[in-house]
Amino acid sequence: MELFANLGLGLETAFTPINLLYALLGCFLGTAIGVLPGLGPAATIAMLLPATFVMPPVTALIMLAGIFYGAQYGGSTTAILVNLPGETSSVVTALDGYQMARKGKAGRALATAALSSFFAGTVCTLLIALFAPPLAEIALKFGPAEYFSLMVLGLVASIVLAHGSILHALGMIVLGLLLGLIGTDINSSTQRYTFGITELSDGIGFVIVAMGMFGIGEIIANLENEATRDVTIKKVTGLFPTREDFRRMVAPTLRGTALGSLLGILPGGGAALASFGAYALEKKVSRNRHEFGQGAIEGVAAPEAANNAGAQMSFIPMLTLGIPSNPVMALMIGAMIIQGIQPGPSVMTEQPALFWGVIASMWIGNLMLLVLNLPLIGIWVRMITIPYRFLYPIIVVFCAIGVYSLNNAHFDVYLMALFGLVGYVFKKLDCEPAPLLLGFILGPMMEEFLRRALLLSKGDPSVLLTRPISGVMLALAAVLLALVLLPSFSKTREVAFQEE
Amino acid sequence: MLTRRGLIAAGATAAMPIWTRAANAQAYPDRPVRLISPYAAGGATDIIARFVGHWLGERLNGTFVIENRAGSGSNIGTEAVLRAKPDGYTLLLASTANAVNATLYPNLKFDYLKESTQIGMIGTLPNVLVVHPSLPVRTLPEFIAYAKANGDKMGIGLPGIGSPQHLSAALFKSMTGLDVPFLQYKGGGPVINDLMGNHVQASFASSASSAEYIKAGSLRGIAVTSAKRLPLLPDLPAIAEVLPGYESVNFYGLSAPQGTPDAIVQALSRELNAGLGNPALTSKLEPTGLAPIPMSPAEFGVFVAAETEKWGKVIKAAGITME
Repeated sequence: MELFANLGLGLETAFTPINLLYALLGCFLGTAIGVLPGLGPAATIAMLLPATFVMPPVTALIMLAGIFYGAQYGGSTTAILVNLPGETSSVVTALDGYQMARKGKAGRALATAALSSFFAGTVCTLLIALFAPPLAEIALKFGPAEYFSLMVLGLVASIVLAHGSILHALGMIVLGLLLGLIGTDINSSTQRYTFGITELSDGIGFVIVAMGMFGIGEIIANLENEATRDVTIKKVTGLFPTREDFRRMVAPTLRGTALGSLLGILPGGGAALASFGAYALEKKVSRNRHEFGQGAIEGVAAPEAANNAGAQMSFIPMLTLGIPSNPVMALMIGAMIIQGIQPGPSVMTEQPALFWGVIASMWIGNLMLLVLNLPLIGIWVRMITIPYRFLYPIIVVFCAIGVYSLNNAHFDVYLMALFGLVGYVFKKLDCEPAPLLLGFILGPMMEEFLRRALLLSKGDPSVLLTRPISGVMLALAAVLLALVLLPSFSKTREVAFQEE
Repeated sequence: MLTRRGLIAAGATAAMPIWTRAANAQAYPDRPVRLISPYAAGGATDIIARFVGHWLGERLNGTFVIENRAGSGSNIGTEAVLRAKPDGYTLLLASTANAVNATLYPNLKFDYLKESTQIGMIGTLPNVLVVHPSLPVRTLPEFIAYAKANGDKMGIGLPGIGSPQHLSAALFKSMTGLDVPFLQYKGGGPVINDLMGNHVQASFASSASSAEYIKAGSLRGIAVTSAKRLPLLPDLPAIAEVLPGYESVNFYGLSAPQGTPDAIVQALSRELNAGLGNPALTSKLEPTGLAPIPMSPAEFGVFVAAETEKWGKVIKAAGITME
């Protein structure tokens, strides 16, 4: 069979000592930068691009890919341990992961994240090997109308993310949408809310908002209250998931993998929805939904599986069509051009060793990460037993370095400090930052897709309903919205929402 | 090595007042040179900067560090260079954006033409008019006729207001009188995606990446925006063959802050132009689609001024602006 021949070629390529070595190096570097708050894979790959000049193309891509998914693994570590999501995808992991850590279950949360990520990575490697080209074709069917409706569905689903007042959640989403508007409108080039500040003309970076609101805000709140901040030190119960934990994580991991793989193939921002969607889904279907937000293991397993699946699947548009679905993939394309390979549909046929070698290395990389991460859990967990007066300055310094590395701009560091204050105020007001971040990510995309859909339809909004995929998703969103909002007409709204 | 450094120093000594001689007696560069690429890492500009920087570093026995200062359509990086000390240790990877932004952004805090010294051209990168293969057109006259009749049924996808592709399209629109809506995207990747999915029907895309899609049959090439045909796509006519006078290419070059010592400018110009004639550098630049064009600092200065004037007219005529 051709597939086996191809996979054979891929494994043959990936299993050469030099490629294995660089895969390991990439995974290790990725984990390291993922763990350091703020330093993302994009900045790291950008710094390492010159190093790839001297490598063979496959080796270079294998190493860069290793950094990418290594960072996905490592990013969950800081999200869980110190409530610092450095990536869109780990925002959701922080919700329940950090709560688990506070209850002394950091080791179990970290192991859950690693295991569910590994499972998702394995499934996706197979999916990519089997179906990459047809999946890429399907993704092309998604036009602006479909993307818009998908975002609407995601946003509606996310209302269930909040575990407090629904009004607070809605308020935070709207505020996130507004923050997302900052920058230059791409259709008219009008500057919005930039107040003449050049640094704001391309909008605010996600990492800046996330680090500020989650990380710095949390630190301020912790410093205020000596009693709560050392709670994690006292009782660390078990480093590895119990049998009960395993039982609880199986179904969420499967669902998360499925959702992440579906959304991950969409280059127009599907992956951003994966972990949010998986979390929202679990919160609806889980038997332990009352635990969500207080340290539910399902709330770690599902989004982690979805996030790794989404990350892995985002290679499909890059490898098969040469279309980057995120900044890291754009850098990989740059790395290919540096190597003299023009990315595009013919890479698969003209560079089979490269194409299949990278795919085979994905699975090897995921395995390496699992082996690398499980023993590290003990060390990470010990890290949070460092007295907080030493730990928090370290976190702040790394946040500042990481944010500075995004654009080499001081402005971003000040902005992060500002969002730290905002995050603290919202914590005091019992407003969750997660819905805000979702609105911040989805808002600009929704606007872009809606306006593009309307420009193409000459202003006729009916395309959103008459295009089948788009229509179905809007209908789903309407049903979901009704489910969430209907009880609010009665006096039992708050109670009903808590139970949703 | 000794001789080259000696030559630079000798050239400098002849042209400089006595009090600067001591400083120039030391070879340039004696510490790392920052070459600022005003775009994100991984893109064509970044790749060109890296290869050119690497080459200059090798030839001048120094280190050229590429610093990505992206934002505001290259304005943030450009301003950083123009405000830097003019000592030859901060350089700019200049591009069409610098010529375009002078008109496009009415509120710029700097004047690129006045505040920079030109070192030289690196090369040009043309665009290609590409369409979805289902569009019933194969030649440029057919495309123009089809777009005139069906302008309301199609869209042209472009990677952002003021991008070289947008300008290629705007110039095309003004010379043909077409009325087809432009749809702006954040970068070239999403445009190709929507064009392959037939959500938009045409685009102006950079030649190197288009060539791949044309070869694979996912897109159909109609014509190139350079004045002459490209070796990369020899079957495609130049738009100028149908619309005489049409030319729209992205250019890349090296600039320094105004006041950079002439000896350093000359040294950089000499090594850059040596590289543009040397396969060791040109073969590396080839995959980006760049056609190397060596120019003296003075020639490049004239070229940049002409481009600024040309695009100023197109931008004003098309009513494009960044408030």
